[in-house]
Amino acid sequence: MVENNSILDSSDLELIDGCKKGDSRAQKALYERYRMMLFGVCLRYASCREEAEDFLQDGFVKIYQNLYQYQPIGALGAWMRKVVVNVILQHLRRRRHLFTDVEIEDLADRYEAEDQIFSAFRAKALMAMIQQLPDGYRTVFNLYVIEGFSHKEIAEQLGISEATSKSQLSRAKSTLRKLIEKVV
Amino acid sequence: MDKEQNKDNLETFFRRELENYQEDPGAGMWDKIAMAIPPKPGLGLAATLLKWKFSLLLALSTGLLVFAIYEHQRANELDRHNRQREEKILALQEKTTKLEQKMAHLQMAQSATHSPPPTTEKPEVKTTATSTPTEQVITPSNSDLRYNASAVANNPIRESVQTEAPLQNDLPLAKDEQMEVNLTSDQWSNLGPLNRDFRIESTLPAIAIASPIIKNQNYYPRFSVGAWTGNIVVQYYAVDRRVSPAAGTSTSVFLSKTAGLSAGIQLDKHWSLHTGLSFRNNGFSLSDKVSLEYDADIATENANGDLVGDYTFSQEGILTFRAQIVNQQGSSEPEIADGESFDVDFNSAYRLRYYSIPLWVKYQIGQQKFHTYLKGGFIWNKLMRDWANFPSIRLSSGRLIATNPRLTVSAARDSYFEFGLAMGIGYNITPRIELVLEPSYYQAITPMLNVKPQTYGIQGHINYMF
Repeated sequence: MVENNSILDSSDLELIDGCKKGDSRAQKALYERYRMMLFGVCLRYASCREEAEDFLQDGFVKIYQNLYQYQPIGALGAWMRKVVVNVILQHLRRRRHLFTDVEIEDLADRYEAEDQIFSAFRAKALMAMIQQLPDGYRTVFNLYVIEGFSHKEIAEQLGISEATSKSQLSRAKSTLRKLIEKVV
Repeated sequence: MDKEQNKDNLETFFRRELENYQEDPGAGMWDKIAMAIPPKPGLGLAATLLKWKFSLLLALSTGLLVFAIYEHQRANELDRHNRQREEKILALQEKTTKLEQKMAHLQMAQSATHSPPPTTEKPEVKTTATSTPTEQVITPSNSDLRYNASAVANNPIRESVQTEAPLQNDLPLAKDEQMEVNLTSDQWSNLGPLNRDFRIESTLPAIAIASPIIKNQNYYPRFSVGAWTGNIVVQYYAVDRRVSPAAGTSTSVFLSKTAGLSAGIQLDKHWSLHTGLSFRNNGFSLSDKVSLEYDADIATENANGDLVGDYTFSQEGILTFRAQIVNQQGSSEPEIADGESFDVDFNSAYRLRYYSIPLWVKYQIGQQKFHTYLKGGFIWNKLMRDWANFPSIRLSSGRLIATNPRLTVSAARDSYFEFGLAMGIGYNITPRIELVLEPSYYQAITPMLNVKPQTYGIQGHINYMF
């Protein structure tokens, strides 16, 4: 299923209107349209599927709550993605020791490669690797590499210094590299 | 350079693979989200107040309706009770008149045939009840019916009944006629161990102290229909049948009902507060043997000139009530001496009506279709009405006096508190409709009567979320 996350068409507008009125059918239709894309985002930031489900649930609730604030000038999918990422970051900011350093060797040993990963070393395997990262590594890696934020922006969003952001990214990449080397 | 290139390749690789990564969250995800969606925002204060008002109006209307039905049923019950009593009184009067006429006839016939010598002794009529309540034989060997000159003077109806002549030893009253007398409520009867005849009447409005020992097990299914309006929970408890065995020396089962409303506030997806108003009808019955003691100090005369006293009974843990004792018709002396007592087997049914205001804190575990929750809280029960029915008071000897009084039960506390715990299982048929099965446990923390009853229950709810 290919989801439309970049074009605000008339059906998006209808869905937005319906959701603003509290129409449950419109809410469900909006969910159906964007659920896979947003769940992919949640999986990247989560350490497991259950946590990703919690992120998705809270993210959609936030979307329905804030939809009346949405101005239909940008892509609806991008706006929803931003809302979901913000919800995830709120969750992560509440955690203590988010940006503690972890020995890379330990992480590498922790990773248990599976046959399916060897055979299909692609998105799912990469996702599994990312989920193995500590919360801080994973968050900064996602924000910097996938979302395209600068270290300054990441530092502002997470309330950390730029240096911490850089070091977390560096360690995340080192860890991923180790993991890749281990399974290849 | 290679290292930098490698770094860039890593980032590019991950970005390319994961930037548009998609995965299906699963079929049950929408149900969880739908349940967590809060009510539509931006209603404004007026609209919010309107919703609150609507909910309050709905709750009050339903409460009034329930109360009206309750009162209507109670009025009907009282009417029926009064009618039955009036019928019994009329029947008693009729039968007493017939008996008196018959006795007068017989006495006149006896004095005509035997012409007894004049005597200054008061004639005596003695009755002995046999082992069944339907038989009564009048014999001269007993002295339960005595001539009372002052009563004759004050009561012209009895004038023809009383006679100066002594009674024939084997007065041949037909058995059927005697049965009529003994089968009527509020009738004379023999009180077993004392072997004397008198009767017990209710002394409405009487004081009764109900002090039953209540066992700990009460099982009741409660069916309720609930509805959420926005973040307000409105529930209507349609029926609550409660089985409350209570213990004297033996117990029996009684059913009662509760109806009411509850409202709650959903604080977040897990926590909610619930309160409400319900009418609770605690009913239970007791079978026991009690000892009645005559208190001459409060003996008096009734309208017919009969000596009347109060029997009271007080013993920790079991029923206490006050009943009027009417001594032998026509007797000049109290048939029962001060301080004398006798045992009575009785069956009694209690009704204790309360309105209850609970305050529950509920924590829902999980947001799936099947979910569980825990609930804890306090319930304040305020006594509305209380009384006890004594459908039958059977004497120990097996002879029956059916007085059927309805006495106010004064031992019930004006109010009592309970602590409640419940653990429920909910199933969302749709995101808006929820079925709930809730086992619950209540522990009174202040006494209801003289005990702090524990209650175990299970209830079912249907809730609807607007």
